[in-house]
Amino acid sequence: MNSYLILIFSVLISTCSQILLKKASNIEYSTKIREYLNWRVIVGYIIMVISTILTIIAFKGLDYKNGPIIESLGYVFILFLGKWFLQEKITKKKIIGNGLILFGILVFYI
Amino acid sequence: MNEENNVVKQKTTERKSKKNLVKNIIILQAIILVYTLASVAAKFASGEEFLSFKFIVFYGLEIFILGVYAILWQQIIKKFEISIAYANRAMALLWSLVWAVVFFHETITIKNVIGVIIVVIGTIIVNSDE
Repeated sequence: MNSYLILIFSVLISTCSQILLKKASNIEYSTKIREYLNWRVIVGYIIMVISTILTIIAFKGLDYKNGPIIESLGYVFILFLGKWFLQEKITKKKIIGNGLILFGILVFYI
Repeated sequence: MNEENNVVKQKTTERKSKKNLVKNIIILQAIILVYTLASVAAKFASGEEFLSFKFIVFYGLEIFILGVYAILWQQIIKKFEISIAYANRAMALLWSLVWAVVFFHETITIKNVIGVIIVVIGTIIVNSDE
């Protein structure tokens, strides 16, 4: 399978895991350890481990410095996932800032 | 007089919260630096035969770094919207540039440097939304 597609899928699932982690961090737990030992965080990190394996497989066909350009799709994914699942606003500053981040990453690689 | 006191109090609170924000951004950035080291281990692992001793060492190192990062990340995201905390990970580009030179002896170009500067500006703009 194409290394780029594997990496994009890896970024998508890792962004989804961030939503789970943030949801967990919004909950007040009775002890510190429970902040980590709850289903949201556990599932979030299982997804992240799967993502690391996919990233290694993808890196076999890519230069190290190509990683971040594909991973930058995460900045777009997180804006929408944050809006849909956490009611975070997509503000002008976030659009301009993330736009510049994506542009900067493009300049870096093209 | 009371009103004056309130204004002074409000300004002090604003200054404190701004100071807190700067402190939290610095902590967030330090955590992101740790995170970038995991991808260095991943690149080293990718150069080894799957499940060979060296592969397991580098992959194990990657997982260990990610573990440390994960513990720290879970604490810092309490203080930020996830879309803002996540945008800060763009600064990984700056670190990947440093590691590309230090560990992999890849060459860097003027475009790499300009790109990183633009990313830094973008990250600052996103953070100013907090």
